[in-house]
Amino acid sequence: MDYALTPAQEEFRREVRALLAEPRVRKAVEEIAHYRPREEPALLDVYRWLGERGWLAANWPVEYGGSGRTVVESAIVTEEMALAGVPDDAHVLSIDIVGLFVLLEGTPEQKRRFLPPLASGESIATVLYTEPHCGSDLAALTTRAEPDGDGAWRLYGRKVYNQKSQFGDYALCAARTAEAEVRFHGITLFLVPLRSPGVTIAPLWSMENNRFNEISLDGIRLTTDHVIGPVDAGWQLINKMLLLERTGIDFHGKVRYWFDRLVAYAAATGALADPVATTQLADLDARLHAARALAWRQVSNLARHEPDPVSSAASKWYATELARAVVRLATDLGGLPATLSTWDGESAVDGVLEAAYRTAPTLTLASGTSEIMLYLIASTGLELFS
Amino acid sequence: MDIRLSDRQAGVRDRLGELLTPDVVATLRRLGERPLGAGAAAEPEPAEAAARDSVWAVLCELEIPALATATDRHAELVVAADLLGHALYVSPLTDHVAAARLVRAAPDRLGLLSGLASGRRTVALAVRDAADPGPSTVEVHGDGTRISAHRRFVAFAAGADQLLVVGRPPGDAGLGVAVVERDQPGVLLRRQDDIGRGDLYAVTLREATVLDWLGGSPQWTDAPAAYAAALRAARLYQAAYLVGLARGALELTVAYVKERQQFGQPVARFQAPAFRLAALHARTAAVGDLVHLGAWEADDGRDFGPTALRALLLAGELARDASAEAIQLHGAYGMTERCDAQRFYRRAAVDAIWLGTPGALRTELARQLPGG
Repeated sequence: MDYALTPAQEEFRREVRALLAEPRVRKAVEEIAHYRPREEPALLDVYRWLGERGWLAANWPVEYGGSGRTVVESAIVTEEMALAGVPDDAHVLSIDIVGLFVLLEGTPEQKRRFLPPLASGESIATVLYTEPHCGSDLAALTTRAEPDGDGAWRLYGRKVYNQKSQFGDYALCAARTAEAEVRFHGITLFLVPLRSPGVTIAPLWSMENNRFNEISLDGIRLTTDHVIGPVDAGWQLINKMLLLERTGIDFHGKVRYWFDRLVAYAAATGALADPVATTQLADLDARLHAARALAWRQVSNLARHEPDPVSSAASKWYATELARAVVRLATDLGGLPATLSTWDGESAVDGVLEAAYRTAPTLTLASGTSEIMLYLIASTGLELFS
Repeated sequence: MDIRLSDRQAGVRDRLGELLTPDVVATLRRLGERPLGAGAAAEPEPAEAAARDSVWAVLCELEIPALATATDRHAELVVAADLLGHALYVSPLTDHVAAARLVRAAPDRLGLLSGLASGRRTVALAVRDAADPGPSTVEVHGDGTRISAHRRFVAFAAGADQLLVVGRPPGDAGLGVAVVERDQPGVLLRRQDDIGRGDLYAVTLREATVLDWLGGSPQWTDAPAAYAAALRAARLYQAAYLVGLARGALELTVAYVKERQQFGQPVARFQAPAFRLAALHARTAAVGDLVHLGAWEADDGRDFGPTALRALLLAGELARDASAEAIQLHGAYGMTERCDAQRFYRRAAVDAIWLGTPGALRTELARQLPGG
């Protein structure tokens, strides 16, 4: 096993880290921590600064705004953003999910049209998969695309728990194009222009800082130019892409950032003098190191074009389950000050720990719940259900 | 970066794999196990002793002891350790890993290393009189030609050629490592009746003759550093062994729940046990990768101590959880002598804390936290 980055990759990490340590980035991160209630990060300047260098989508070809590097550099950017506390939700949605679909399945015209604005950090793309009755059972979706002549379609349906669409230009939407006996068939993926008649975006307020959206599709007309991949083959594409997106790098980075802030807070408040506190921290620190080792295995698998669905499910499960443990320990060690929000003015760590407590449940829910990950391992890995 | 088994690692896996067939593994898991409450005078059955010798001979042919004593082949060593843990194979290899690091830190005047590497010579580390793995005291007589000490939890002492007695002279801050011939009148052994029913001994040294002191003296300046290096490497080995043990317990259980029928279907089809097994599988993958990372750090000349410590902490916990789950999902059958689940469970109790209790490991890790 070789865990070494090449000298060029090491240098790339240093450069990314240096950019993210610049005062302008630190200032932006601090400002985000003090956003007003219901205000959330959108197209951050830091995305543009990364985009200018071709780093935001580092593994995309130069012609689409990337820098033609590998998934290793892409993972380095994702990891460094998370470790620097730069919100990466819009980045993950735009680049790692929607952009990747277009890059791998889009037509040359679609790539030319959609990818450069995403890679430069000037546009956000989001995901419209789940629906009120779906949850993890995505194949139960009922949003339908009706033929409208000349190969065009009209979309009707309601999507929920979407994020960032209020800032987005396009969303990748799964809709049923055919009724089939096997319900995994007949699903097609569309790139839906969000700023169009027939698309209504409304907030579903949650406890988290990033709002959920409810999106109504009331007959928006789409052409074949908006279809990503083959018609009726959306289910297969979604599963293929989930595998490429699910490394655990982003989740681990996010939890590590919270953990490091907690350790710094504990050190500043003298809590590290308490051996009970430090041993609990040491325990979680060890687990985070294990999570990272497993996450980088996924990157290595992707670099060899050999993604492993069971291993990546294990990585996602292991890293995200730590989120719950970290935020719980944050309130245990931080005490009541750690429950004060950034808007109180006397909170611990600018309210980062309080906000993390509210965000943590999303990690074990998004990109496949913990239960789906365990199901994948139990069924495909251990073959317990066959 | 290429995070998969290297050709050399795959070579170790394949060579050991030829030895560790399912039938052999089934035998190995029971090898050397004494009856419940056998007490101090529990010689292994002659047939078992012969079988154990022949397995050791094959491991020597496969150059596994050479891996244990090398300082640049950790990546291969952890692959071997994992497979041996999976087979629940008990051996002096953990001590050999540590002993080699101690011996390498000083001029090897007795030529110990070549014997350790070939497997022709076996040594046992006699370090502690208490639960803590840290060295206990040793009384030095005359000009260092004889020592008296009491040591407990000395693995495979009865079969060892020499004992490496690590100790601190009373009232002295120094540390020394005495090489002592095991078979001499001043060395008394008593088998300890441990939960693993294996080969742990209490060793009493009464003015035992010292063959040599590593570093030439009972106050060997480099001894603390050498002992720390020995512990680091042994911890990495032990973590890999424990991951293998957990994997073995998990595979045993997965196979059983697929066969065992309850309520008209295999137990495997119920989500409650299936998800617990899946979670153990994921933990095994994560901790296993931490072990591999530590081995890579070691071979790359980096400080792998923190990674080895973390890996051991997590692997010990994992081994105990996986083996406890093995019994639970086997049901009462899992507790019977016929079923290996209870062997995993009992052996894990010893192996998980062999090089430090979780509390001690966490405390040591806590000192490495920023500001800790």
